[in-house]
Amino acid sequence: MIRVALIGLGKMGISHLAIVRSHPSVELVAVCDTAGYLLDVLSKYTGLKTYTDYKTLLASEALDAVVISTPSRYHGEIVRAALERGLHVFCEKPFCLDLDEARSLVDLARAQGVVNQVGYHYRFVGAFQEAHRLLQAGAIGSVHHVRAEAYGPVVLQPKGATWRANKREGGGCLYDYASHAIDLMNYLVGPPRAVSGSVLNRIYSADVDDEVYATFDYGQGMRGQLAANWSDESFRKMSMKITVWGTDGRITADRQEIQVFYRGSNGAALGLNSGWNVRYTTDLTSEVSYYLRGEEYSAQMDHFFSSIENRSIENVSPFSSALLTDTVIHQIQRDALGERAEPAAARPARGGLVKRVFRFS
Amino acid sequence: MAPSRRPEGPPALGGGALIFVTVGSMLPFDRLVRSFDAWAAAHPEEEAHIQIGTGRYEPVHVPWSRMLDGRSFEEKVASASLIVSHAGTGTVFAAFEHAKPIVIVPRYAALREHTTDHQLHTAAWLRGKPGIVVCEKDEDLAAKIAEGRGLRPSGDGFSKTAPRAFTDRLRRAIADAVRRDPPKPSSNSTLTRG
Repeated sequence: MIRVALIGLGKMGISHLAIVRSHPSVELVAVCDTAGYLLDVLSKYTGLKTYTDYKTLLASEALDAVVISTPSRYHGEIVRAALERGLHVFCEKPFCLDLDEARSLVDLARAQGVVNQVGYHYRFVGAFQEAHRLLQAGAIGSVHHVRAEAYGPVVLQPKGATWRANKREGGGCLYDYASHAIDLMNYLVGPPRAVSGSVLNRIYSADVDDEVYATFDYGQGMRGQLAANWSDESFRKMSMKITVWGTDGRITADRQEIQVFYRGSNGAALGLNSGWNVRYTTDLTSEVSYYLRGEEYSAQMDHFFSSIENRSIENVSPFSSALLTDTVIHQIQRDALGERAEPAAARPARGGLVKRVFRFS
Repeated sequence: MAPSRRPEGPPALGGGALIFVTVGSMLPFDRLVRSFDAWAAAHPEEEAHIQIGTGRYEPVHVPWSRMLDGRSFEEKVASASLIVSHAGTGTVFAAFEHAKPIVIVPRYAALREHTTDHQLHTAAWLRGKPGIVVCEKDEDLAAKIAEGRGLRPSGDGFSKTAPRAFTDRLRRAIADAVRRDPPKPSSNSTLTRG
């Protein structure tokens, strides 16, 4: 059994608590939160061992791994403390608010040789995984444009009750919604070289952005566009849609399905017909042992725990790719303030699709 | 499509009261839409509305919309005498909140209506609770709608908020905690939750 502790029991922490406790390979050893009333209720009804200080927890319990879902600004110090103890770490997104910290944690995780993963769960949705598979295979030729959109009904009136409404704590649509879209863009076509035309606009919030728009430059004439808005109640739930255009066709993927328009000549090898191909997420998803809020939440945890069991450090959503997402977030913030964005981090070996499809790069 | 505005209060049973059918907001559910459309063809005197989501099948015998915004959805539930829906907890809780009887049609993973069979588990958990009918076979829909119409309200006093005594206790606990340990905005060594 993998011995796990959970640190932070807010919205995501409670969700992870249910998934972790139901996982057949895992023993949930203890949980940690600063809300005493929450711990009282939990220990009364579940018998779980509780801590109010993560340092005491890490010092007192024999653990293999931790799941961290605290407010974002605490991720860095807790991830570091867990890595220094040689633990495998699953951390909620966004990874770190500070890029230098994120870089040093990527290095530390690598040096410690532990499984490291960030909660970008859209990478575990069947339609986006299929889009990734096709793009890795070069299915639509040279990619020349990408567009991602995320909309939903989170902030629909002026309010500021939680850390998510606080800029210094990592609140706002950019960290909460757009980060997923950026991460998927990076997953599918690699990170951009530069960011321009960024808009961080408030609609209802006092301190944070409610909508985000930006243009990404991938070099060689390839551009990308990002649009995210969490103040749109015409969407009943968060929506996520990404479209990639290439010289041999177009891929559009969302939570529900992947649509591929293919005009290349290698269809048979790729499993694609000429013209339209539609496959549903329900056909592209393997069964998870426990379902809560969408299979991707369990699928990402299954991936984390099976990586630990198989001693596999390669990960679908490692710290290193979350660093690239953090980097783009940082570029958008600086660009929106009118500062010159610094160049993106070096491209990861696996995400080097853009580089690969441009024959002259 | 403008939501229908019916007077508050329970509608008379029998004809004339709206049946609101929804497939939720995540995935299409053509099987339910087709079944209900067939039922509506056989019951032209009945008033109904379906939210069909992204399904391919568009109803012929009943008014429908693709996706209602949150407020219109709420109004439809409030003005309905009966809800017919997939086994999605969001819809079930909306029905409970408005104390409307509900006929639940679970999605099957085997028919690729969802990614897992969790809706069967949801339906099993709900079966037998007040105001709930579970319909597992398309051919049973008419009988289940008739059964649903005769049911008492669902939800058993379900409320969006916890009982006053509980929220008061919570308020006191938070106030005590804050008194004992006032939040330090610049502190970065302890966790503080918003």
